[in-house]
Amino acid sequence: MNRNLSVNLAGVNLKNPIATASGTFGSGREYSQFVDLNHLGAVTVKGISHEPWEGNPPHRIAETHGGMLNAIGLQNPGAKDFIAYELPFLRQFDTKIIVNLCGRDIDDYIAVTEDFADTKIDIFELNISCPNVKTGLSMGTDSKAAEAVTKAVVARANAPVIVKLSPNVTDIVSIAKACEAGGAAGISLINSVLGMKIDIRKKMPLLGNTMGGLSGPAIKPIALRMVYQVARNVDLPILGMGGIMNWEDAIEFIMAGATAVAVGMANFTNPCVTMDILEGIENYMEQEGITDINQLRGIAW
Amino acid sequence: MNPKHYETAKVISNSHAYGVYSMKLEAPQVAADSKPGQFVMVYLGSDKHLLPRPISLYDVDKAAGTITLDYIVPGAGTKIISEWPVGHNLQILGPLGNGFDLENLGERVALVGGGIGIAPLYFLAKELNGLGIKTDVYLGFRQEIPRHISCFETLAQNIKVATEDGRGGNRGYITDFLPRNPTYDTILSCGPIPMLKALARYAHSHNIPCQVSVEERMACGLGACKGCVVKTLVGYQLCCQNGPVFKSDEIFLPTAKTATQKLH
Repeated sequence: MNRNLSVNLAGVNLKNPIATASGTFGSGREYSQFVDLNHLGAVTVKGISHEPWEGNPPHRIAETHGGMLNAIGLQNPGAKDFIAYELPFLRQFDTKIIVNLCGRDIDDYIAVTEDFADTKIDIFELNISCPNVKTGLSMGTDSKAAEAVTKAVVARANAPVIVKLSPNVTDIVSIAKACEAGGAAGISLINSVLGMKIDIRKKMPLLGNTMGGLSGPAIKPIALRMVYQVARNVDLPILGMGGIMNWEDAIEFIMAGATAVAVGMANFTNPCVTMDILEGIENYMEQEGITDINQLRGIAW
Repeated sequence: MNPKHYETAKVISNSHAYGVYSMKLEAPQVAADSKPGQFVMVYLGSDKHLLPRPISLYDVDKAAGTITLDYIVPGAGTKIISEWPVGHNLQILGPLGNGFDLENLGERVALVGGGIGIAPLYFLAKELNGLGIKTDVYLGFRQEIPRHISCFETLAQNIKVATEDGRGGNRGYITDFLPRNPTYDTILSCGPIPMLKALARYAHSHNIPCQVSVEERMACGLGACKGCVVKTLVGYQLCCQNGPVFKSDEIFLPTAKTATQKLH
C-alpha cells in the first residue's frame, strides 16, 4: 500500500512530519553519524542570533524526574558563522532547514533576519519564548510584543515565519492569535517550562542561571493540551513539540492538531530516536489502514 | 570527524570493591576507536532517568573488543548501572571527547590522579608504556585505596599513594608529595577540582606543560546541546567535544560554591 507521509507546514512541503527541536540537534552535523538526515522532514537548528552569544554560566543541565532542565542561554556563534560553516553542511541533505532566530529586542530580531537575506532557508522559527535569556520570555508572554516582533520579522524574512511560543502564559490562544495577526505562517509550540532544582548538599540552586527550562516527557501533557487549544482556535499549521519520546507521542500530537512534530530531549536519550519514531508511525498507519498522515490531523477534536 | 558509535554493549562483569565499581563491557566498535582520556555515554534504559551518564574509559582491550568503565555511585542514575547483571545489554555512545594529547610529551611524564579521577589514567599508562615513555604515577584518595591500583605497578617507574587520613602510609593531598625539583616534561591528570587547581599551580611554577581532564553535567555528549561548558581563555568550551582534557593554563577551574555558611 502506498502511504503518504508528506505534510505542508507553512507552505513548505516536508517529506514526513518528523522534525528535530531547536537546541537539541545542533545544526544536524553532530547527529549525522547516527541519523540519515535525508530521512527527516526537517532539521530545526539551534537558535541563531545576530551577534555571537556566550550563554549562561555552568551548570547548564540538570536531570529531573522524567525530564531535564536546561539553562544554556542560547549560546551560539552568530548568524555569519552559522551561514559560513554550518549551513553548507546541512544543505548537502535532502531535508528542509528550519532556522531558529533569537534576539534581545526587536532590532536584534530584525538584524538576524536580515543576516539571512542572501541565503535560502526553508522556514524561520521565531524564538520568542526562551526562558533562559532575560528578554526572551517577555516577548512571548505579551500579545502586543509578540505581534510587533512577528510583524517586523515577517516583513523582512525571505521565507515563511513560524513563531515558537512559550507555555509560561495564562492564555496560549491569545498569544497565538497575536502572532497570526502579525503575519505568522505557523505556530511552533511548546518551548520549555520554567523550572528549577536545588542542590541540597550545596544548599543552593543547581543551575548557574538559577532557573531553567523543563523539557522531556514530564511536560508532554501540557504541550499536547496547548497544541490542541491552539489548533482548534487558530487557523495556522502547527509544529508540535514537548516531550515526544516515541511514535505514540508523535501520533498524539498530530491527532491534537499538529501538522508536523519536533523531537527534542528524546535525542539525548536515544540519538537514533527520530528514525524509530518514523518507522513506528509507518507501522501504525499500516495497522490502522491509513493512507495519508494528514487524515490523522485533528482527528481527536 | 572521529568515528563514534551508538553500540549495543553486553556486561561481562560488574563488581564493586572499596567504593569503586568496575564494569567490563563487550563493545568492539567503541573499543576499536578509543584512546586514553575519552569517555562513553551510558544509556540507562529508564523512564525516570532519561539522560545518559558520561563515564571515562578505564581500560580498553582492542583485541578482545572490550572496554572497562570505573565509576562511583553518587546518585540514582549510576545506581541503576551498578545493578546490571552479567549478560545485560545496554546502549553506549562513544568514544567521545578529545582524550589526552600524546604528541610531544617528552621522555618523563607524571600521571596524577585523585579519587575516581584515576579512572582514565590506567588506559593512559598502558598506552604510554607502549610508546616507551617512562611514567611516575601519583594517586590520591580520601580514605579507601582501591585494590586495583596495583595494576599500575607493572606500567610505572614509581608509584606514590596518599590518603587524607594517612591510610597506606602517606597522609595528605597527593599534590603535597610531588617532587620539589621535578624533572618531568609533561604532567597528565584527572581528579577533583581542588587537586587540579593545586596541580595547575605546581605545573605553572615549574613551567611543565600539564593536561587536566575535567567533568561537567552533560546531555548529548556530541556537542549539540551546548550544556557542558567549562570556562577557558577563549570563552566557554564544551567538555564533551573540546575536552574533557584541557591544558591546565588555558582552563579556569571553578572554586566550589555552597550556601553552607548561611547555616552558621
